Amino acid sequence: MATLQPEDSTDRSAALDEVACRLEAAARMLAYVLIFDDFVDLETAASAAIRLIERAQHFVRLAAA
Amino acid sequence: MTRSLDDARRRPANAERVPPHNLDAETAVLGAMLVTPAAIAAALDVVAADDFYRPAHGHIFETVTSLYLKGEATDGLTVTDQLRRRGLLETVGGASVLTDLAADTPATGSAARYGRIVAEYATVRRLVGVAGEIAEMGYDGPDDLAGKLDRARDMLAALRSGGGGALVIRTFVDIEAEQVDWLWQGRIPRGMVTIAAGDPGVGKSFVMVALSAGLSVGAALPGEDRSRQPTGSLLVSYEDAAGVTLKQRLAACGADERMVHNLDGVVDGVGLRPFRPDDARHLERELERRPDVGLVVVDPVGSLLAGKLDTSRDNEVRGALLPLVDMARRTNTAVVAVMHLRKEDAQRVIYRVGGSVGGFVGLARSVLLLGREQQFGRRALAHAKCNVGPESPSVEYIIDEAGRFMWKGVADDLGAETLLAAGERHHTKLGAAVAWLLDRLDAGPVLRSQVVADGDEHGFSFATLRRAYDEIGADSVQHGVPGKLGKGPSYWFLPDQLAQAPK
Repeated sequence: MATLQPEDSTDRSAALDEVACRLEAAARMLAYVLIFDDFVDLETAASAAIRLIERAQHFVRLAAA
Repeated sequence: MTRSLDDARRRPANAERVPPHNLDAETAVLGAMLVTPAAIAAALDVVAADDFYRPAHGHIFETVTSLYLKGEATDGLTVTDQLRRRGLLETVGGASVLTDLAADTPATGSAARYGRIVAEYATVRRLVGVAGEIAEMGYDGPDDLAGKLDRARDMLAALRSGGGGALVIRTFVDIEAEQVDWLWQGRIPRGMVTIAAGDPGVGKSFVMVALSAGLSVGAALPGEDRSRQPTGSLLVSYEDAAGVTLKQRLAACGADERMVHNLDGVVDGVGLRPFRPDDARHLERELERRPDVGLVVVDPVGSLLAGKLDTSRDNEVRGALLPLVDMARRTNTAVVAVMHLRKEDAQRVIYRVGGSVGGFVGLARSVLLLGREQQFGRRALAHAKCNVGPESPSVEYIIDEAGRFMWKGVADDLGAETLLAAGERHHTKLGAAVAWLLDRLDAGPVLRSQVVADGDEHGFSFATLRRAYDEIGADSVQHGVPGKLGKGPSYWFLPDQLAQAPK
């Protein structure tokens, strides 16, 4: 999805927003899978959470650049 | 929805070719919407459920937006539950599809861009469909040729005007009655924008600080009969320095400073810059992290738009302020936009506020006028417009020379028209002198020589000051000084300050 990357990678504030909302989404996903039986299985949730965190790391690097 | 997803998405006659589409953009916008509500707001402006090529994506979009528009959570769990209730969970591929979408979206801040890509591909698919239908009309022969050409033109024109924006229509039997959630009972509603307008020098900014201070300690505000939970405020001030003016005033008003925040600006690639309307999404996220904040003050709102817009143009102003309106609604925060009154003489207060009636005032659900009445210079906050309840009685306040603010209480005699009538006068030389003199004498008698000297610094001649003195019915007293010849110094004071006059 190279063409769908952020337009303005120099916007530090936007990058930090990306980090925050992804970490929040990852935490929520893991919390839900532990609380609710009818959500996705733990492996699926963990995989998605890891990808969210990896993506957040990408934006951390952008913010630091 | 006005038509079914399947109708809208049906393939054109020449279905042997795969219609143009972009699944990456579809998954990217949906993923962003599942990660943050700000992306939903951005996507709703540019794309509709029937723009998605993959029906499952259209169902997910429709489900997420319907939850969002009802003010409910829009994360993977709630969307999964809603899809299950609608019997669509298996159709979209199960809950794991939603977690994958959220995990793999490139950038939530680009949701509008992804949405536009989806909408553009939808338009070209419709173009292919329309072209096929026009071709079919051609193959039918030349009967009613003029009618066919008209229909072909209309079909193409409809493509240009269509696209984006799913209609969400509810029947009133399904709509629950809602009570207005007041931050300040009857005057400032939560979840909406309120305008606080007045001439320069009437104390608009001070009133906002006093309001924040009262909220911070949970005090009952004027006209209220009970205290509240301490409530936080966020000040977006373009004119007053946080460390000097605002902090001093907050302290003077007895604020709990832990509950009042200042927005210094926005850090971007260049450095710290002023807050702009398109930063509202950042602010919204910040407010979600600070649930104690119930009030956001933008002072003055004209600075928010400065350099970007022609504030006399309705559409531009509305477009710039709508992000704040949406933010207020989604966070249930009261946004107060402080505004200087325009100088044109107008009969109605609401027509004087801002550069554009439809722009500023049209977006505000409550408009408060701050001003001083003409005779004694009493300051008050009056209701000029309220769309969500009856207009509330005016509230009088005092700012003394020592910089102390006090609410004096409800003052029914100081209505908006009374304050406005006084305000109109400020735009003449004499009116300005009257306003200045009222302000100068507000705290008590002042030496005439001092008044004249100060007035001179403000560009008022002695003759103008003397006419202003007569206009407001001011008085003077002169006393000799023991042991000195002559009549002694003269003091000027307001009609109600006789008791304070030097003896």
